[in-house]
Amino acid sequence: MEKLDKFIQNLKKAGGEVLDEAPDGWYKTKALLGIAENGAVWIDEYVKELFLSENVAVILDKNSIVETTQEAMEYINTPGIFISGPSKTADVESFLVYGAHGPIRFGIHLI
Amino acid sequence: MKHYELAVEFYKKQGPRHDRALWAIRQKRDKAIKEVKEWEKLRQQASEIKDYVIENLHNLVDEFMKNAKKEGIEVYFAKDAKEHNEIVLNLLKEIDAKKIVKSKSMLTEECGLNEFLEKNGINVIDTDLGERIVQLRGEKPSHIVLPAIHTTKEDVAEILGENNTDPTYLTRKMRKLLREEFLSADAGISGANFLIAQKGYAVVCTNEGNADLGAILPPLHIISVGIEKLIPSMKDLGVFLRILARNATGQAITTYSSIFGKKEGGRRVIVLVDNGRFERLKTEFKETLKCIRCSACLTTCPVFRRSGGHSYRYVIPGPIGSLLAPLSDKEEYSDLPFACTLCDSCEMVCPVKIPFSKQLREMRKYVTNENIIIKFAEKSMHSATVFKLFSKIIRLTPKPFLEKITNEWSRYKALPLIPKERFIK
Amino acid sequence: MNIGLFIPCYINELFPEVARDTALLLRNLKINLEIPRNQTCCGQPFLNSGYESTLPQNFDEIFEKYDFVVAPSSSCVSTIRESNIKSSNKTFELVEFLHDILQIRDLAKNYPPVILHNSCHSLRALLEGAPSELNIPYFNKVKNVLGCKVLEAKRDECCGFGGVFSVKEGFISYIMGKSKLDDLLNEENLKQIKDTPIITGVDMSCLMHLKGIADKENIKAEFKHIATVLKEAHETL
Repeated sequence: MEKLDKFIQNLKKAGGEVLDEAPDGWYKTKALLGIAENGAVWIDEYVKELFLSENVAVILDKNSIVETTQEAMEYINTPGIFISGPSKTADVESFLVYGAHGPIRFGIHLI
Repeated sequence: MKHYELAVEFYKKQGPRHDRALWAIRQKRDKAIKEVKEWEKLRQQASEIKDYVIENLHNLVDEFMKNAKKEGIEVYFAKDAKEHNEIVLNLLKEIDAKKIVKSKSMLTEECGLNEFLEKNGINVIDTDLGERIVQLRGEKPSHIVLPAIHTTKEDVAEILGENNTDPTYLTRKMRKLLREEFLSADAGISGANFLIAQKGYAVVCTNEGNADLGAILPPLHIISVGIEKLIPSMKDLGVFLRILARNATGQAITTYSSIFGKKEGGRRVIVLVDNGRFERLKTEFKETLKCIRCSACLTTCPVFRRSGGHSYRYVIPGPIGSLLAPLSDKEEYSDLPFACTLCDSCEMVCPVKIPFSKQLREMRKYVTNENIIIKFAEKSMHSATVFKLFSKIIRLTPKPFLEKITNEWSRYKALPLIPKERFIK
Repeated sequence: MNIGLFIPCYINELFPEVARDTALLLRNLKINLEIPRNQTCCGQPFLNSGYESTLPQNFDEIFEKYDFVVAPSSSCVSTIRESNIKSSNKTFELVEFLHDILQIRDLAKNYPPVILHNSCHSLRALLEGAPSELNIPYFNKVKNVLGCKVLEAKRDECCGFGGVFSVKEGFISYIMGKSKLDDLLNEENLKQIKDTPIITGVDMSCLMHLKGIADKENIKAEFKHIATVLKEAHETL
């Protein structure tokens, strides 16, 4: 379970949240794997809703979390996207702000 | 104006603010890399991959072009900036494009694409918030990852015509304005952080998601990229994704790392650009082609932090810029390799182990003309007897005269007292 | 063991006491030492200013007969190392020589607290300590050899001297030096010191630059090359 704890910790560091369930009105999608070292998830369904929605919820199987990005790349052979947390910027005088262009909130529903 | 003049101007205006902001990022970076116990091994791996890439660049370009076409991506090869700009303009003319949304690409800065397209009646909107800020200010980015690091929140409020200087408020305002541009643009242009030769994919890393909106909303997505961004395989990408964001901003990974294949329901075009790179492979500066533009050498450079990016006057500033700029214009940028104390910090943070100190010394030689007096001085210093003679002359020189000839030193610092006698008599 | 002492040209001209203390220290440590009279310069001023120089080859000829060459300067030693000459591998900076070859520790155990300026070439070129840029365990050879209370600056960045840089970019060089000086003399460090703070380091060039600022701005500090500190400490041991 160490990997799961690390994943959650790093997801939160990246501004993401853990959801008990995917709330109504949020864009919902499924991730194929998660990465413990940075809290990112891999999604191979690359659609505009991932970026246009204010809130995105991603469903992830706890058993598909790997330790590092290098390990993740052993399973990835197609186009797609790694996402860690909500869209963000610090371009206004180094202040971190969520929701630069894409989602303002980004949550993972672990199953 | 040269670096030392612009540096004085910048520091007198900014004070230590710019240095503090960048040092904070350097510290975040240190913390992030220390969380990866195999960090130094990763740097070695990344360096070896890039060594392989520069030794095999011709083959990797061919392999990439073949595989990208197979994937369903249109690929062009541009030998220089002019050819690149024309290819992009023709693609845009074909679809009668009036407005394009652009996300960060140092390559398009290098080619002067924005100015070229504007001249041809195409409205170019930079969409990275930092780049949009500098675009509205009529400036160039001052840092390759933090383009507006030289500005304050008051500056941003001013260009938006706002009184409220709250960063969240200003960011939301920019988001709203730029969202309209994304939805009405005819094409998107982005750079790429990596190209995967084995698959023909392009990889783009951002925090804002602007590259993705530009890639997915308009029917045409153009990727302009330098050939040195090639890496052999998906496995190699794993190494670089672990390194890039940690070294750049101290994040474990960027918010978005998109691997692009063919575009569903639209066109994706990749323009590979040489612009002197194949030639550079044959020179002593070929190792600069290993650079992944993480920007850590800028952020850590004690001179850059105090002089600001614009003092370098080139699209890529800082230590790596001081190596690249003179290669593009030796006369104009001959001061840059000297805007450096050879402190080695850039070399220590470089994730692909570019030997900065060695290259900067080589670059100093490259921009310096032979000087008869210096040559004579060097020769005479081979002899201890002649050296002793010089030593005597200096001891007989009156102090005011010494202060005058060491003006740049004496203006700020006391000269050391010259003792009556040297050690080896 | 046959040791040749290399005295960097600017130390010979401007800081003969540092040269003298280096020689005395090594002789007090019973090292068989020679100081070739025909030595001049390692070539660094030319090589770093964009000119060719064969002074490293000249160095090679002068020091050929010695088992080791020792020099009280990390920047001159790194010039010799990087020149890829025969002497490259047998030339050592003073502290490096004491630490790695003679295996000496705690030579200044009873010395009052000092503030150490880790110069760039000591830290990043010769790796006499762990630079903050790398992910390697902390160590500092200068501290090990000293053994007294050693205080450091919070940032291990460059002091802004940089040889030719200090005259080409006088202003930024000064700004960097001033912030280094402020950092070395930070409040936490000063709290641990009773008398006039002693700033030490392995490169007299950095210390000369910092002293130049301190003198002009009446900042109270004493600047002592590491050879002087070690020699004084050893004599009272």
